[in-house]
Amino acid sequence: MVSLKIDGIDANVDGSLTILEAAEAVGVNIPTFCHHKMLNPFGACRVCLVEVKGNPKLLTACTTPVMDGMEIITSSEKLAKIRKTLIELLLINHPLDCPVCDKGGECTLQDLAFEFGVTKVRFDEVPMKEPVDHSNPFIERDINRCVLCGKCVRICDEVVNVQAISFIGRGTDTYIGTAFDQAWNCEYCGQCMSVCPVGSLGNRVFLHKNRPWNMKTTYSICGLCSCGCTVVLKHENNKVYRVDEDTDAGINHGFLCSKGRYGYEFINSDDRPEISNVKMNNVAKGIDLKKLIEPSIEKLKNIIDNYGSDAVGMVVSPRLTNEEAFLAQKLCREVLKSNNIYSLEPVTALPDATYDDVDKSDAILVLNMDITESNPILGLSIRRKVRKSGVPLVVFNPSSTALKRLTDNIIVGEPKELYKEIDSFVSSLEGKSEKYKELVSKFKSAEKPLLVFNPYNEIDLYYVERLKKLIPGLKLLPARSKNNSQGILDMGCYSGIRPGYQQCEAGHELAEGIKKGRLKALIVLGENLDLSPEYCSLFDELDKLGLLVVLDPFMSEMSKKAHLYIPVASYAEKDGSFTNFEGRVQSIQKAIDKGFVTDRDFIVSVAEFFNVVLPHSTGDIRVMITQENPLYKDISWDGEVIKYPYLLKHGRSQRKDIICGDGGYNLYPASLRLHSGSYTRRSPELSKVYSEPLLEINPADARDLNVENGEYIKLISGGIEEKFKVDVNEKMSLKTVSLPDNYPSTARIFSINRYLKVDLKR
Amino acid sequence: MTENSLGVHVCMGTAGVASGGREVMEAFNEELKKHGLAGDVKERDCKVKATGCRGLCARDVLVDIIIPGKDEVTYEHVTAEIVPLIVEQHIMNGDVVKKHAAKKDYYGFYELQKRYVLKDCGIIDPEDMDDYIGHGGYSAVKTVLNDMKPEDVIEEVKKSGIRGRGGAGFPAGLKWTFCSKSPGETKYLICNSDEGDPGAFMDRSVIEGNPHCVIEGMLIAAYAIGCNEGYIYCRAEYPLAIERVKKAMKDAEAGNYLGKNILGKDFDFTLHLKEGAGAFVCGEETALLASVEGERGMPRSRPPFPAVRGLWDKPSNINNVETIANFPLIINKGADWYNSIGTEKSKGTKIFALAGKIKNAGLVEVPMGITLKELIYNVGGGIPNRRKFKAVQLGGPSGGCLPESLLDTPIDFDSLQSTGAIMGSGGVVVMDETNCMVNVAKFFLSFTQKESCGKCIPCRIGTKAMLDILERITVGEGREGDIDLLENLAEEIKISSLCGLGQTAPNPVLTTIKYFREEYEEHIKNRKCPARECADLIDFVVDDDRCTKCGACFRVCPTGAIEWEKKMVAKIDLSKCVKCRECIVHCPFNAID
Repeated sequence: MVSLKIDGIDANVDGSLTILEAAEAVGVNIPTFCHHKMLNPFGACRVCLVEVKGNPKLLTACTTPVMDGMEIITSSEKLAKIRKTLIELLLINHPLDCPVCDKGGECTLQDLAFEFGVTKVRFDEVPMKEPVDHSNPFIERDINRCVLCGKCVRICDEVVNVQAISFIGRGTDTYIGTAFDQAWNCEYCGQCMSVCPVGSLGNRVFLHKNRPWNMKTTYSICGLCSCGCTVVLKHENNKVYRVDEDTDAGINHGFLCSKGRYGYEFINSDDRPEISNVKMNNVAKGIDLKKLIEPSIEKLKNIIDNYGSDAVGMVVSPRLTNEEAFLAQKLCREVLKSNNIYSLEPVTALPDATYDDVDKSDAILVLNMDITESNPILGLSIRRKVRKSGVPLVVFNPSSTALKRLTDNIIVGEPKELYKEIDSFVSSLEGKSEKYKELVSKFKSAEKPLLVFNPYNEIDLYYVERLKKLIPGLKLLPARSKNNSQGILDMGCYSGIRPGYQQCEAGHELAEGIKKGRLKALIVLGENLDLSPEYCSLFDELDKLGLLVVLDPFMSEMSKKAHLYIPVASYAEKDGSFTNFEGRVQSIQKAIDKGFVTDRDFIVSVAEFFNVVLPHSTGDIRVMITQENPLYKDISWDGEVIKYPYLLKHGRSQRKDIICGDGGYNLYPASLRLHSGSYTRRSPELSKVYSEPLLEINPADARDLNVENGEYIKLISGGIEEKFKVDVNEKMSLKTVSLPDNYPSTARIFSINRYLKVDLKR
Repeated sequence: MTENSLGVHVCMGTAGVASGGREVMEAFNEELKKHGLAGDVKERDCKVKATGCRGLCARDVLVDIIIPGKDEVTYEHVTAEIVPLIVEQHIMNGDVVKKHAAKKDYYGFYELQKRYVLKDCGIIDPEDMDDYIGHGGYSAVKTVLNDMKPEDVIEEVKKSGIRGRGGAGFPAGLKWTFCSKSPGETKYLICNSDEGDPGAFMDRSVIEGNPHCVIEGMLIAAYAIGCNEGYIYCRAEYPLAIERVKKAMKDAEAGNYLGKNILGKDFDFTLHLKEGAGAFVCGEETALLASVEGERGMPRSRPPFPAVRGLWDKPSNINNVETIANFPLIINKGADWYNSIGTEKSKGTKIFALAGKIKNAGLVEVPMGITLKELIYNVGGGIPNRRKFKAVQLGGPSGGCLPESLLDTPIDFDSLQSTGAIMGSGGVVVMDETNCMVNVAKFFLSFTQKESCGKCIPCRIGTKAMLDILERITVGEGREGDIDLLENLAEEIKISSLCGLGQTAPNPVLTTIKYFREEYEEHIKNRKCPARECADLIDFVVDDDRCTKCGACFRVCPTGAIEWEKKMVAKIDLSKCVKCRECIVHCPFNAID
């Protein structure tokens, strides 16, 4: 501990703090410009200069560590003069675009000019006149407004580790750009844009659409993937204009991914139907819900009378909140008296490690996942940890990943070879093989080793179990995919498992139920079986159902099949909570109201027809959850992590046939960074960058097939012939190609197996 | 070379090479062969040796003829054409060629100098390690490794009182203790040979003339501090220095002076050479470290200082080349001897590079405490072309201009600092009445402005704002209040900049305003340049009264704009005049306004 004085105030702080941090601790505000909490101090802007008694030099508060006995003065005439001059100097070249600049109203340059009282500039103004760069699909770059604080460069370097931009040139000719002024070659995460203090890096999805003082702010949790990032929704008149971040809020520390940041347009999409039922043309918005669903409830009751309760099933998608999922399960089991409650999430692996465990880890193994694509913010925390502490990182993946910038230990290969390597790794742990001796010793001797894996891949779970046994102290991190993938399972939306994972009577197996006609009525809350490799082959069999009810914000293929389709609210339009891959329960807040009903409204209405009163308000539902779900008994719904009763379920045996089919190329499912499921496909700006499914292929293979980037190629697999656009990428291993598996065309290809041998023809 | 052999030492420092040193050497080799003197079988053999800079670069190519038993003779301005004469007349027949021999003033050049650090420059072959050893080289390392503990070496250097020669003047021994005390096994020693000041060539001459003394100095420092790895950071614009230091490093390694178990002792030191990439800012120690790490050469905030967290976050000690070259001297001759030279607070000697309007332009080494007047007039030979002294710029773009009234200032760190100038790394540029002080400030500021790394606001934009004001003043667009604006801005830039570049860039402006304010006022109020250097403020009209009708201007005008005949006053045709100022520069009577 160190004692010092700041503006006469006594402070007793940890010796590792800087003057800026110490001042913050005692409530003294020192202005900054180029400083950011999550980045190394830079000391470039000089705005935070302070006087230190006994030192003839002024020192930057952001970089200078505290010392015992220091006496610091943060404001004086001398400092006021300098701060004024610094802003004046910036205004020499900075164009006075405020009236047309999107940053107006939230601009640090404006704020500091105001704070320091800069009313005139004593020097001749020489505004720059470089053309604005529109080449990045999401980030508008106006180099004339840049103040060279370096935050964009530093965040792309220290946090994202892509190093897409840097300072180029020297002195007043310095500008921030890409290597050799080439096109932006980055992940479009937007971290740079989020830290730009002025209007130099702008949000192209938001561009010129609104002003900050018009918009309201609502904190919520992102409704896309399982990372569980805190987002700040900026909205006005029930339209979401922008998704911002808050460095001080949430497990994401103000970092977001490209879809979270730029993919919000689906919320405002004109594609969201207002009509309820295609066949009956009822306008759902504003209509009496009970009247709307009454005919369908009649049908439902009929089916129950004729065939029994176990002919009815409900499919719950991760789009639902915990509260809605809980009600859905209750409706199915207790109201409809059916055990056929389904979700497409596996219960074989439950959360163990959190982001904190990533931060504390001293050896990280990523098993068969492209983690920076599937769960970008989790990937980001791994990148930051490895960059900061240099801990060993080993990645197994069919093709190379972005993590190659941080570690040489990326082991790639077409699926069969890859699993041979994973086998070798396990054997090395057992002492039976020398191949990975050095690497495994790092994991064995680590105190906090971590394993990140794909809980959806059955084959991998066998290896996860082996690794757990062989690496002492290994923490497991099953990287779930959707915003409430974990929560819906916690709430018992799974055949045979109650809320809290106690066993109960199971219903029919879903596929069998549909195929053999045992299920006659299906209520689908959000799920789209057309996009599921496992169930898409049964998609047309759904026509056999006597009643199909689908709730979905969009008219998906599933919605089109429904007897009753109800457009419902998105995550921005309701309250509730999501549980992310850590098992962390976080609340979402309703930001806008577009007049759509929620899944909850529907469930409660249905229950009414059966004379059961289910709780409707979030508060009431939560009370019931604490009573019925032992895992959620004492939580505050504000960010705690649930403790799970088991980590892995069901002993597994090693599968012999990993890949099937025949052909010259190995196909595996890709994770997409730019899309999460199907909703983001309705965001035009995002879809401009990635619209149709792309087949990623190695340049050498592309040359052999005589196909160039952007051209189409025919894929032949298991009787299916389909044309796909090609994305030539040198990260791909030879003779190995990938496709996302959740498009209607691709889901059918992958319905045979996860890994396939396929043929490609020009 | 045997005792009986002759020596022909040809200056092959960069100035020597530029003046034709290679051709002179070839000529000597050829002539000596003709007379049967080259080679080894003769009774009297003769070796032609390339040596480093001996100082009076203005007289290059300099050649020393050493005949045992006779006085050493130096020839100046030697060209390949006069070599046969020298060989024939002097070497073969012992008769000095008086016409080309150095005059008395050549020896006067050396009178007030104390060439201790430069003692072997000009004598030994910089590419021959044995020559260095033969002249006492690497004996200090032996002393240190055999007889002294690291703490003893630090004490000795502290006792010597030597202060950094790179410009800051921080006590070297004290700096060593910071790094030595920092915890950690891995420590780095870095030699700063970036020498970015335009017109400075002190470090260059030391490395080109005697690279081994730098290696020896580094060994001493490394041993004292506890560094096992070191870097010489040399600017890429010194290809000869780089070539010579590379060879020296190779030879030193072969001779067990570098590498593992040096001289059989339990001391390892691996030395690397890192070339600069053309940035003045990389002479600043933290920017230099960034450059060695492969990063963009931008300075970092201090604290933490390099002695605590330096190269790759390990404790590092950075010393300037000249400082390092002093270490063998201090060990060999002792701290007490070193103390006897110089003033109370500034010990030892300093190498200066004399340039500008001075007769004896070249490299000099003088004891601290010598006055500016002695340096310029006695050592430097005074102002040529019958012009008057106006100002002397010390310390390059980071330094200041001092007027005639301050010529009695002794040259030591503190006396100079109190005038507003700094000692700097040793660049001394002398100016006469044809130099405009506003233009001088503009010149130095335009350099620092271009070299600014761009990281911090005050230096990046502030120096540009100052430069814009100076440019307006020099084209006659100065405004009321400009001088105060310059002064205020300059003060603020000084105290708010991140590194030494920004902190000292305003010095030329501040000192010229302090000592030559009237000149600024002339430019602004009357739109006139008294020194007639700012072309936009010159009328290019010959004053009838002052013109002596000598015709010098007529002869140098490149466009024929001057009308002149014998016994006529010259007249300038303004329609043809391109304002190149050659006439003004060459008029001995300052007759053109």
